[in-house]
Amino acid sequence: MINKVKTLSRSECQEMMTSWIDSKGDILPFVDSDYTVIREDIGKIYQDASDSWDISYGRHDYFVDVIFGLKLYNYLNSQSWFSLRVASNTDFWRYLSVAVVPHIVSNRWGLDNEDHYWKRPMRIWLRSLWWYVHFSWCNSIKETKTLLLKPMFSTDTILNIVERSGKNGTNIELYRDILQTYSNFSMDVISKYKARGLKETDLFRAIMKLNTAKIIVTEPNLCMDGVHGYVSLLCDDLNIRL
Amino acid sequence: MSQTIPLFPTFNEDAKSDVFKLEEYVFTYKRDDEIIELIQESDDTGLRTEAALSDETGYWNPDEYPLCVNRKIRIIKAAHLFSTGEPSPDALYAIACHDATIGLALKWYSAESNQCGAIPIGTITNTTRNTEFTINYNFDKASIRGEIFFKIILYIYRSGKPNDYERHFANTPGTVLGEIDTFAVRIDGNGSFFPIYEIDKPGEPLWDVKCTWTDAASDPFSDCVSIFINKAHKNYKYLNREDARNFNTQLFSEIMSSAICVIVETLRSEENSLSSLENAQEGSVAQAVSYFREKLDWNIKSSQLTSRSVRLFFEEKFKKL
Repeated sequence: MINKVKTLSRSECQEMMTSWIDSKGDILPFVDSDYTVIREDIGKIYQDASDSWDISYGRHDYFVDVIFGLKLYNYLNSQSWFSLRVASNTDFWRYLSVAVVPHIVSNRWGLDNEDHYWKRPMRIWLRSLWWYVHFSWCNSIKETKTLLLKPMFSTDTILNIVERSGKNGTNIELYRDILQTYSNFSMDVISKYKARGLKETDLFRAIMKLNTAKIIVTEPNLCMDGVHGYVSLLCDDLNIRL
Repeated sequence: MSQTIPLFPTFNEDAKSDVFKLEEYVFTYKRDDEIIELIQESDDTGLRTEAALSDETGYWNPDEYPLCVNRKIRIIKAAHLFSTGEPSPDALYAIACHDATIGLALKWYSAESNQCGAIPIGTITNTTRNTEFTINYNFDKASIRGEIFFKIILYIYRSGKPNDYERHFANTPGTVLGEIDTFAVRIDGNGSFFPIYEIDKPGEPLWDVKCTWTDAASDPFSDCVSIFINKAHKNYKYLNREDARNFNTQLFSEIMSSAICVIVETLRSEENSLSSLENAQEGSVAQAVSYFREKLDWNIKSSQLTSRSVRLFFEEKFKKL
């Protein structure tokens, strides 16, 4: 039973990463018995996620990211010591990535791709997966999985949703509605947007950019019909019919 | 947000005392059916805009107890905020047309919690007077951390039917018409500004400073700036605060000043960094330097002026020690 959530500061990460890279990924950092269990557990769920991919699904990296992300989300949320407070603590994700399971991060991003281990908070892989699931959550693992494996979502979506999180915190209800709404567009509507030859050819990016501008003067929760009403306004502005 | 130019009339602070009477925020939590008020500790003198929360009874911690935000807001006379329907030199503070409904809401945001939200408080029309609204909002247990900002905002709740003299007012529900005030609360982390660490490295200098940010406008100051004091150095005793006999305030002040100059100059060497400090995220490196310039009144136009400002500041600060 872990009494205290473990964290690593930026400078501590720098030192530990140097040892990790020097050892060419052969020597895992020392962790206590509680975290050794976590290391094994996360290792197993990553293996399960990897094994569940089949060539018929296509897009290997995104598929494994989603399945692993969902399992990691479920696993951490079931730990008594984990909470939204822990999830928003970047130094916790640093500890997990650099001290506990660097070998798994290495598998996905390479031995020394430091941004995804600790350097850029929004790019820490484990962190971005947990928040991707949280920002897209719809009532159950099953429903969220169905949503995230729809064809219009990709690793670019993870980038746009997580890495461009609001500088002063994110409106979770809003992001969930944006993703739900977007998932209901036909691929036809989405590709037609690309074909218009506008500066921003990606409809999802266009919605996110417009949101950044609009949210300065309009508060989503306070619109007529609340957050969904606000998202409808965004779509109206882009001439997309819901 | 400070760079946005509104295209419609927004709330004017001068109207505040004519329209609203706002009590202070009260932060509470519930333990065994009892509601306990948290102490607000603040460095501010006079008009308080921020505070750190603590519990006299020693029980409260954000992991176990939900935080409750309370505030009473009285509307004295709302008519000042509405147009009369005719051009009037007296309607200086009008922000909505005569028959619209304005809403009040509590907007909260926290970069450290990666969350934000807005909670409706009440609505007013041009006839509202002597009405009281009460905020009583509970955060989920273990959901927020660090510093949380609270703003009371005004917005269009229900559109009116603007006549020819009112077309310039905002009229779409959800449009924010301005804010009445802002208050920041810190629930953990001591918010200490200067991340000073002790290291033990024989052969190395007495002190060092490391700047490890990649994006000054969003990377946290406390994460990406480190000042190291070397315990292994022969002159460490002059910087050891626990060694009352040898601790030397002048030396400490000198090192802090030099370290901060390095930080400012490193930022200056990054293209455009010093000219766009206002848009930076709360708690970021750029925001910290903006704080030095705006709140502490430092002149950072050149490295010489920075050096002088910093040293003047620390001389004043350490005079009291």
